[in-house]
Amino acid sequence: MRELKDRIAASASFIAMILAVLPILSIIAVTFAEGAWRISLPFLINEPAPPGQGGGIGNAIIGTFMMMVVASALGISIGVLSGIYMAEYSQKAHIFELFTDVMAGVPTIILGLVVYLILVRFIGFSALAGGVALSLIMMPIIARSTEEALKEVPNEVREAAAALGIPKWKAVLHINLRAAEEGIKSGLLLSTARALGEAAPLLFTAFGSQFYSGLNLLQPASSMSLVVYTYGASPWEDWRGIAWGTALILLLITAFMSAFARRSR
Amino acid sequence: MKLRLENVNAWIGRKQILYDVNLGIEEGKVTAVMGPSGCGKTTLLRVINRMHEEVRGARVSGTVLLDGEDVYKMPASVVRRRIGMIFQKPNPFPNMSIFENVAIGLKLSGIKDKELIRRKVREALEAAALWDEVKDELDKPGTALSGGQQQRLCIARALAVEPEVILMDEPTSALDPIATSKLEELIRKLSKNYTVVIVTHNVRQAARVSDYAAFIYEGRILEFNSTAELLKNPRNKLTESFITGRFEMLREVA
Repeated sequence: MRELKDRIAASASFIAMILAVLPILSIIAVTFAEGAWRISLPFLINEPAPPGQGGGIGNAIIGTFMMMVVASALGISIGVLSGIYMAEYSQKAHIFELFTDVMAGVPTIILGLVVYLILVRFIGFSALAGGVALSLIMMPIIARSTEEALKEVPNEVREAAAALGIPKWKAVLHINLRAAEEGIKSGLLLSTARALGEAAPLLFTAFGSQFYSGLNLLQPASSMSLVVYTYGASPWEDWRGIAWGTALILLLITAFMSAFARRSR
Repeated sequence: MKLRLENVNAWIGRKQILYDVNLGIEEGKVTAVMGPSGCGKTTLLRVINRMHEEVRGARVSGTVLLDGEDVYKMPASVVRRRIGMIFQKPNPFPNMSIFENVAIGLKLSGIKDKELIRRKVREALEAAALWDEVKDELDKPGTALSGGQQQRLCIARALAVEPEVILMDEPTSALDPIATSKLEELIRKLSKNYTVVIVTHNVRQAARVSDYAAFIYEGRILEFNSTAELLKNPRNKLTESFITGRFEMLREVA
């Protein structure tokens, strides 16, 4: 009887596990089936075209790249530094933890609205504003993962550094961060993967565009996530196809990053 | 005298750990600080190189003189470079190779000359009796070494910044007997060039490695003498019971 119960529990959890991974498997399968055959060199470098005339996502790839550079520069520097502050200096880290956790939970479309209010109204729709919005998604994730990784560093390491006469800031920068490297890297990868896929915060910030902007950060810009959002909902079959192709590329990049982040943990 | 402690009292929070400690440490000798656990041995050591103040709520009064100069009037980082420290548990820096572990103190003190760093790392590893074992695998992570090797790596790391005094806080407590005897041999060798203060609760270890010994109990130094004399003719009853191993019994009776 007990053995039977045990078996039922084991099979129930097995079935639940299958149900949990089924969505990701079907996402991968469908995206591959719909998207793979549409990806070609012109698709990767051309600007969008009217329905029925092909067109590509070259400008969206560049736009994504520009925004991710801005987002990473801001998100990583501010995120890592605040993680350091919380783990190494603050006596009241729990207060900052609360703030960062709340920030990480704010719906991303609201982050976009905030950036619209404080930035877009003055400099206009732009890749820069989009990057700032994405950095707000990355910051709390990076801050917390840096903090957690530094807290994992045993105190004996700090003692050893202090006993060598190494000033604290130097020890943090050259020894503690290094000891926490793995955890911090995985946080960077996960936050980058998160930001890459976000379309909502870009609607009021980067806005989207049909053209190459020549790497001008102050021009409106498209991104791969925006392409999926706008083209996926269009009435034209070939535009929806562009959305599928783009979705596949995004999926591959983010999946690799997440897998890599797991490995380096 | 290399080091002199005068009327040193130490606290952590409200709790007083050391009471009126007076102690002279002779240059080029090994001085052992013995006593039961929790008697203040480690705190005594950490007062000397100002590591005590790293603990929250820690306080010190009295003077600690290094070559006649008050260490509490020098920058802490200078004191710690002149007085190195070895901990109970080997604590090499994670994610750093054997070489980097020894070199980091030099690099962070501003030395840029790679050739000079390489030479000093080698000298430190040789002085710590580790060079022959690791010379072909300097790129391996320091944490991949055995416990005894890790402890000698930590000694090399401390030696690399050229201290004058080395404080050791029960450096063999995490090591097996073979690694322990190797390290004790090393301690004897180090005393040729350095002043060593070693904390131990092991009477036989003190007998093997030290020239002078202090017995400390409940934060007070009860007896200080040459190790041979202290072990042969202890003047204090508690010292005697500690070195003859009757200490625990005695304490239970009292």
